[in-house]
Amino acid sequence: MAHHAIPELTDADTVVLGNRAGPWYHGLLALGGACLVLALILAVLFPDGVERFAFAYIVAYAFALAIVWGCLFFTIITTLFRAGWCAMVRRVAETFAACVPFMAALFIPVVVFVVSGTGIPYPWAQPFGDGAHAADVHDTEHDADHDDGEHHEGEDADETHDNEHARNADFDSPAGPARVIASEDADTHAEPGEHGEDANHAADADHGEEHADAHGGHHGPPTFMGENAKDWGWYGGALEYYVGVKYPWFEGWFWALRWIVYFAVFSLIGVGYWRLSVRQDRTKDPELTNTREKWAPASVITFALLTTFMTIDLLMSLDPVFFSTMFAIIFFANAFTAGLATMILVLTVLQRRGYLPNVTTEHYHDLGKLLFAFVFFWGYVSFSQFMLIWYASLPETTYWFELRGVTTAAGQLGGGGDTFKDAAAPTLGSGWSWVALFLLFFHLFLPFAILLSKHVKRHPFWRVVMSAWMLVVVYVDLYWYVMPVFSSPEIGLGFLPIDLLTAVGVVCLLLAYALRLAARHSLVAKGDPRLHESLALDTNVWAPIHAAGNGK
Amino acid sequence: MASITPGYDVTLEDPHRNTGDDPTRRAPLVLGGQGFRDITDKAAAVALNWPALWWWAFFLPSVAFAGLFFSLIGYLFATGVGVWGNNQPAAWGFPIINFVFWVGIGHAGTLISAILFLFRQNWRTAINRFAEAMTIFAVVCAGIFPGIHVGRPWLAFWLFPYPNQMAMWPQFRSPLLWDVFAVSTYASVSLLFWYTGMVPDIATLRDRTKNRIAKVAYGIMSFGWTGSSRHWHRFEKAYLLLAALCTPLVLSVHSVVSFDFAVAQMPGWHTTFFPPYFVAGAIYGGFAMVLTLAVPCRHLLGFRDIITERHIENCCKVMLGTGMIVTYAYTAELFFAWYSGHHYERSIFLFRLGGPYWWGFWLLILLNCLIPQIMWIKKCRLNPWTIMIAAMAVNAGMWFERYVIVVTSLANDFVPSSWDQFNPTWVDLWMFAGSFGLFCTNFLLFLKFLPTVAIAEVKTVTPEAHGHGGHHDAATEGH
Repeated sequence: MAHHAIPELTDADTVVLGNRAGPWYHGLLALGGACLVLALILAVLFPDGVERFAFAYIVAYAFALAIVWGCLFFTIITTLFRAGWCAMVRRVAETFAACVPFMAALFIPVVVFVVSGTGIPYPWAQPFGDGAHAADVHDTEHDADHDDGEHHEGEDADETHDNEHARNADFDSPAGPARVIASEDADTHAEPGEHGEDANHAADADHGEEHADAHGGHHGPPTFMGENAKDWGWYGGALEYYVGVKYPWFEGWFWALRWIVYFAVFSLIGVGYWRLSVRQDRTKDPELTNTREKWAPASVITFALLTTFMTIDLLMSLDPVFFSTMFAIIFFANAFTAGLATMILVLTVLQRRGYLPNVTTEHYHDLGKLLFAFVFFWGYVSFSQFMLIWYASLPETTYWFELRGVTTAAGQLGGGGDTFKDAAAPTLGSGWSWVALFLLFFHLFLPFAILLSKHVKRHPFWRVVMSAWMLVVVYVDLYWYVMPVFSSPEIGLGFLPIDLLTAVGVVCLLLAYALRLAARHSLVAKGDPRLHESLALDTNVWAPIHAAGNGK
Repeated sequence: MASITPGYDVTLEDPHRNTGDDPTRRAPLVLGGQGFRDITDKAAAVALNWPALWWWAFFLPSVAFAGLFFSLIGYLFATGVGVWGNNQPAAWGFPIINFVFWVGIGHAGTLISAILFLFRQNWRTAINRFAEAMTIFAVVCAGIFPGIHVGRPWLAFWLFPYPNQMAMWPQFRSPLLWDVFAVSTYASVSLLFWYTGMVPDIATLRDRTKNRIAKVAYGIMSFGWTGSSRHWHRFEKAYLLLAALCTPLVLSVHSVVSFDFAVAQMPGWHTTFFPPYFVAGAIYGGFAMVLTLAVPCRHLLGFRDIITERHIENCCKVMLGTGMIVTYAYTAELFFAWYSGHHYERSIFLFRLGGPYWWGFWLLILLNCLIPQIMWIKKCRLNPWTIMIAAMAVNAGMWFERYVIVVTSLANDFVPSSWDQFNPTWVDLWMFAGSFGLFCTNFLLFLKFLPTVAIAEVKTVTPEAHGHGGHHDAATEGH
């Protein structure tokens, strides 16, 4: 043990890929593009395919974002902690973190969805201020609050709503909020009276709220729940009510402003850290490490705050009625898992090609430990969210799990009967229930048991299997979050080719961009002043007690 | 030898300062050129010698307060829980607030011992022992409050599920029962971990003491430790396993405590991120208490070269970091109360901001979110007085956090006709003060009789343990 010489960096560690990355880059670009084009073709060919594509794109985008965000977090948190062990592998994380601007580019289709004004995939992005139904809301709300009235004239969407209604009328079997919104609007034309009444209720509740806020008084609950426990009838009313109550969160301009802020700030952090690290390759200036560390706390705080809001905007607001404080933390857990798994896989691929000989089992072991910890953490936060909502069984949040097939409670989504029993969740036992069980076992129990073992974390084959596995379950988790908004209780497995092609396409494009960035610089942060710690990393001698026990 | 930190910088300009930020080298964790023997001498001296005057000056009032605590418990038993300010709807008053407060403080010890151990944070060695002791004593204080809150304390053992002729069981669906399991598991594992780590050091005391009775007592407590290679081997295995077992416990205990609130439908309680939010708050409060104890101790016990400024600074940083998480949680809570669009959620948070307990909320923000921000400034992290100001603010702030959560939600629930304000009585206040007496008494006894610093572990992070001999030259990098 004693007086081991610290290994030296070799040329294969510090190599700049340059043109050698070319074939890979073009291959990834072509594959990604082909997958997306094929997905689009399929989407156009099949009924409801375009809508499905929108949701599939959100899942794929969230998945790619998770990888980037995980790597971004890895970069800033290890900098904050002044970690030395990861200096050999940090460049991979930094490169992905520097892909934030590219993620902004990939966001353009989402903007197109929103601007289209169809309410797909974001139900709030449709004109509510139309027809007898909404006119009622207008009138009542003007009395209560002038600001609220304005918001119904959604700025993005006015010109398209006629088309949208024509199309919406085609839906005949509502399933999932996304469809319901559509059919709700179609209904509005047929029976304005009934829904007008609904809207009045909503407006009343809103009015009451104003009253309560002003006088610290008390008023009955909003009347959306259980009004029409049939065919999702209540959801349309709830949707409109809550989009109104949450004004101005779902205003187009505010939404756009937020996304500009997210991408601007995260680009600054992601690209900034990458640049500083790359500059250190040349200058070897320890001062750059100090600069990185100086900005790390602010970066982590910004990361936490903005990621929370971004998760609401990207995923939670697919269902504007639902809310959960844990939601963003679960996305973060998924993101860090995805980031670590991607790092392990990318490092393995590079090593297979003869690069990075000084990345050792020890580094993989440490990355594997973090992966294991986040398997556990994901289970912890996901279970907490589920258990607390399930236990309290409040209709305004429980329906969200019902939509995803994991509760018997209440029957908010409408079994159709008058009694509680008749109305039991129709989604329980549906495809989504199986997805949820799959997640429980394959995102938590099995990887927990397997990754617990030191031998798995250090084994060149198994750690790759487990990393790929974790990436798959992160995708499934996001899928389970997003897709039931489009269709529940059926998963709509017929659309699976669209879903998967989209995901593969987006991830390939991300990888291509990351490779392009990586090819310009050394694969290792060779100027890092703590590199010697990483080179000498030996996780077997990590406990101070061991150090003394082994002696000299 | 291979170590996680090859290249200890032992060439400091000022031998008592190791708080530099040079990224090319790691700062030493033991200063003053101390050898193995110096460390043992220093750490053992406290336990082996007659206690200093300051010890008595703290101990006697602490015992008095502990006496007051038990007297008030007697008064409570004799009279009934009506002596407290608890009412309907605020059936949970000070007892539950104090319980959560003390359990929270108990988190830092395990975090330092277990999680920082797994993260290879060698600086934990100087403070882990007394942080763990603090954990045990805090959990002792915490455990008393629910026990005396049950109304008929002579039946408190009904908390535990045991087969009985009445065929009567606790409500397994209640988080209060989960609490019984979570806290008792935590207490037993923490105790085991603390004690396991202490065995080699108790053996050191056994070998050094000249007092016959002490020798026998330490002899029994050290389980015949000889320091043989086999003993060390077993010890390291046990320590590692216990650390791994303790790690989920750091999360689980306060998560379950948070379930006490979060499973309810009560606005202001029912929010899904309560578990990690409570855990962060607990670590926050725990590190504040660690600092509250460590800063004076290192001066009074003469441990300034063992618990160095860097240790204290690191604790300050952890406190600041967890404080930022807690601040995030307050912000997110407010935001989501608005975002939920729900009437009661929004109302309860408006009540917190401007209702009858507005002072509690704003005091909490001041103490927990604003004052500790001074820890961003390095000078403040190195000055014992500013550290104490921040730590004291957090100690008080974390208590107010629980006060705000418990009281504001309960006192103004769904139906205005059932609203009632909560006012603590003198018994409430003195009992809380008395619990500090119990805590300090235990802690001071620990300082006197047990190895305050993990002697064996600290030695492993001295520069000498890495093969450089007593006094060093610059030839430390690279090994």
